[in-house]
Amino acid sequence: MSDLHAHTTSYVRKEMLPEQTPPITETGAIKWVRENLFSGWMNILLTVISLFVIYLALSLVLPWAFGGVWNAGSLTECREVLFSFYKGGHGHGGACWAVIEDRWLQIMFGFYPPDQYWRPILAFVLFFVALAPVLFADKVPGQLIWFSLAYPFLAAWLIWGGSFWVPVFAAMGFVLAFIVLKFLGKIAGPIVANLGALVAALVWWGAIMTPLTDGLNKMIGNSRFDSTLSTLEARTAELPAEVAALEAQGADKEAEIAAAVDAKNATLTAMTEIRIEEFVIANEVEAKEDALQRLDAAQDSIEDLSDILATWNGAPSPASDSEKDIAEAEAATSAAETLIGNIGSLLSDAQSGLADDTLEPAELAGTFIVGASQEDPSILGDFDAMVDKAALSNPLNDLIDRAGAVTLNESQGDLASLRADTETVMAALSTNIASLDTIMDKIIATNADDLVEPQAQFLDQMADLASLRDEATTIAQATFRVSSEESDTRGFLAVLQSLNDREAALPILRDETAGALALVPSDYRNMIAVNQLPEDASAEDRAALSTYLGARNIELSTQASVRETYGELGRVGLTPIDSRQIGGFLLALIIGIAGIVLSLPLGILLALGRQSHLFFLNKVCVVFIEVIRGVPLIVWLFTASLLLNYFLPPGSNFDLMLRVIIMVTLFSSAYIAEVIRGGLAALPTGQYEGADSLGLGYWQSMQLIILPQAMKISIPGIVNSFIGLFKDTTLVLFIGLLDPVGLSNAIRADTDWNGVYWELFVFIGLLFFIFCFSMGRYSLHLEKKLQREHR
Amino acid sequence: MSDTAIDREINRDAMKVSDEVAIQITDMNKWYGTFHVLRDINLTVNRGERIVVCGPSGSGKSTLIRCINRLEEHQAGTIMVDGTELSSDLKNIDKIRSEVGMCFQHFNLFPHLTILENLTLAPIWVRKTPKKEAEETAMHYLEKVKIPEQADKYPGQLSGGQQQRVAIARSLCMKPRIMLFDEPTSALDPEMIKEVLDTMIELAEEGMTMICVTHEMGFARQVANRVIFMDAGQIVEQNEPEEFFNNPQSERTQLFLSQILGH
Repeated sequence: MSDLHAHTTSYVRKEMLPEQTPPITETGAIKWVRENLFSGWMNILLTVISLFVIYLALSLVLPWAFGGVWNAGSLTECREVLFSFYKGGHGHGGACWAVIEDRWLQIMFGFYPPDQYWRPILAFVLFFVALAPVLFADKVPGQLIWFSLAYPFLAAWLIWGGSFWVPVFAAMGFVLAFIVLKFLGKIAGPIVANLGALVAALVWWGAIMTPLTDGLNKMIGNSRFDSTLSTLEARTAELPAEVAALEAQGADKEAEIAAAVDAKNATLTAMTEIRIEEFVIANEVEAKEDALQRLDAAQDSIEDLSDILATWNGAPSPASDSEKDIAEAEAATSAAETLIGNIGSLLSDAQSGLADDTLEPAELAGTFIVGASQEDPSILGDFDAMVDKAALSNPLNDLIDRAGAVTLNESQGDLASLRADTETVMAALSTNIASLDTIMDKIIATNADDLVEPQAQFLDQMADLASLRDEATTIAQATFRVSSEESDTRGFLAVLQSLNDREAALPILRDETAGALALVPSDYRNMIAVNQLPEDASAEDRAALSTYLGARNIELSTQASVRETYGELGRVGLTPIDSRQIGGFLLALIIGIAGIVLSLPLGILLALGRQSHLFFLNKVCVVFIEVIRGVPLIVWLFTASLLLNYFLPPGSNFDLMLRVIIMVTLFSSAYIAEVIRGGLAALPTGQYEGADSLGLGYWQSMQLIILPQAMKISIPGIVNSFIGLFKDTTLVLFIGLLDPVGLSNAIRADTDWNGVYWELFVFIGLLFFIFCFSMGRYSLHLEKKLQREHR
Repeated sequence: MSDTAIDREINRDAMKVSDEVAIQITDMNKWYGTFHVLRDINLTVNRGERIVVCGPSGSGKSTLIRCINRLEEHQAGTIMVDGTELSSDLKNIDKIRSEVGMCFQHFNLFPHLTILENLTLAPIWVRKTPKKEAEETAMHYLEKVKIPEQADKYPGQLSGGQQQRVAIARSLCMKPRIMLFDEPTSALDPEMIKEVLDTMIELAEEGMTMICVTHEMGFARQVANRVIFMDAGQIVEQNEPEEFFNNPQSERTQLFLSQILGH
């Protein structure tokens, strides 16, 4: 730099400067800490405060979480374990994770049959396989998309069970629609093709699929009839013995558990005996602290009294004859008198408490001669150092006398001395309590060694007990499974045996119905209830209609029962599971994932509709979005569970879960539509014109140009909606579905776990957090990946 | 503004104009709401003709050429492109749009696709060309606009001039019979204007029918068959470039030319 002259304006550098390393404080971790944690006094202050707050939070949470109990059969047992490790307190000692250990499967699966757990688990694992072509399109082979398309049907079949051809037939509806669309698209316009495809699919699902399924059921059922009948008969003979064997095993296990509980309780008693001296001291401390509180209250009352007397300058007396002054003086007088009474009673209560409920130090020491004092003789010295009972309670007698003599005309000086004396007694009492606390600590220290062995033994016993209970649960589940198989087998056997009769009766019933119908006047033939008849209908007509309706009912129900029997007999597939058995996190996942997967395409269509220039399409979309968004989700859920029944044909049984999925999907799609509309609006019109000028059609330009860019902009919003939807699935609790939160209520209703809150909510919260956090992370990853183009 | 767009001699003899009519606009009118943007436009463009449209801003130049591929709708009169009349029939519109290439002031490339994907998109989806063939064509045109090495980049990574050349190549990939240019150089700085004009001149030398809305008077002088001057939604004057620039007839044209060439 020396060749740079400040005065010259023209300058030529002759040699280039070498590169230098930056100062040590400007690199690496030091730089980071300086810049981010301690860059200025405000920043330093915030850093220190933040660290302190984090420390506080962790020091509360970590001991609770990691000092928790995993092996226990009930909340009471949890508390026993915590107490034996001095972690009792008021529920702050440690978590009772045993409830999670005991019930986590239920929180995950609800009342799904345990022997079928593999099905939802498999469906869940396959979900990620199906997701791969969508989420990581560049890393997996393209053919996998076919699996993704088939996945919804496969998953539904795995979860709800039934014959394998049901999902196949349902999927074929879509295939048919697609074929019709392609075919009609070549010979007619797009509107005709779309309508044709819709009609084809509806006809397939509505009119063809059911007879086809019934036919298959009947064919397979007939071929299996004899073998099934003999198998069922054989099973009915075997099953009672199996049930009895399992029940006997269960009874044995119960006995083992009872013995283990006794052993555990014996250990608990032994530990209590070791710690008995602690309880004696604890009692003593409790009584003395009680007295101390009373004295404190008395002291406060004296202060209040002296305040009143000071204000009135002696006994309260009215300043004039006015009613107001008289009333004030009277109020003050009565307040002061109450205080005088309180002081007396508080003091005498404290005195009697000390006299009656506490022991002489010598007496206390006496109970310790054999116990802790042998290990730690200094304890006896501590007792000796303590004052006698009389030294604490006698001064109080004097105080009580003086308090009894207090009147409204008491001088401030006397009151002050009364207060001072009370405080002297309190100080003595406090010292006394402090000595007891010291002794308590020493006792606990002497007990610690003695307790080590029983504590370890106690934990072992709890662990044994837990594994015994697990075994008992397994046996109980097996028993339940076998005994329900027994009753199912019996029931099905009876149904099968009557199948031929019912089938044979069908034509007869049909004839009867037709005959009864012929007697009904033609005007009334479409009626489905007698009360639909006009007032003036004749008695014969009424009777005829009622006969016809009765005959038809019998025919239809027989038909349905035959159909059902064949359905069961001809089923090739998985055990059917009722939606009511599905609960817990599985339910949240099903509703959440179905809602997410269905609401995205629907939301895109709604967003495009809202941008459309076609007047009615546009308005329909706007109204739909605004109405759905403007009403709380919980209202829609109630609509799904209660009101929807009114709009459905009577007798149709539309699965509640399906209804909820539909409602959640509609609700979420309205939000998605608005998010995507924002993305569409953010695109410059040049993109639409660019696509148009190349001759791309509407759907082509949407698919290739507009939506990829609009979706990219909307990713954070879309994922945000999805996370919201997933968490909102817990609202189904209010319409009687057992989501994780609903199950936590059910678990708390069990007397074993009555009072467990935090542990369940922490677990459920953690499950949801894992899923929502993963979704958020994936969206960040996707945003980064798509950030290649900069505007 | 320079007098010439390109330093080399341009072979105007090679740019033949045939008798075949490419675009015929008859009594065309357009309104934005109640505002009359285009008034009684009559224009015939023969195949191989190169027309430059100029005029002050707001005179309706862009609207006129945007009507030709129906990015804007006209309300009266007829527009025939390659013998097909522009109507609201979607199939006709898509057919005409795939025959008529267009370059925009702001390029309107698709930022989420690579250059190659930008070029092959329309041939693959509209013309149903096999992917491999489309890519070969795309590389051919990228070489023609002298940026084959950028094929795998994204539009955001290219300079403005390069982007406009990609946009031209994108239109050419559809093998259009007519090219429309809507102020292709207005958003570029001088160095880049030259590379884009080079490309356009080469295109003209190959006999492409072109309608350019531009203020590049050097380009008009060297390349155009006809220069059309528009003002207030009407065609005020049209003439051969020599006559147009040296001997403008209307006062409005004289004023415009004096302003644009005066400095």
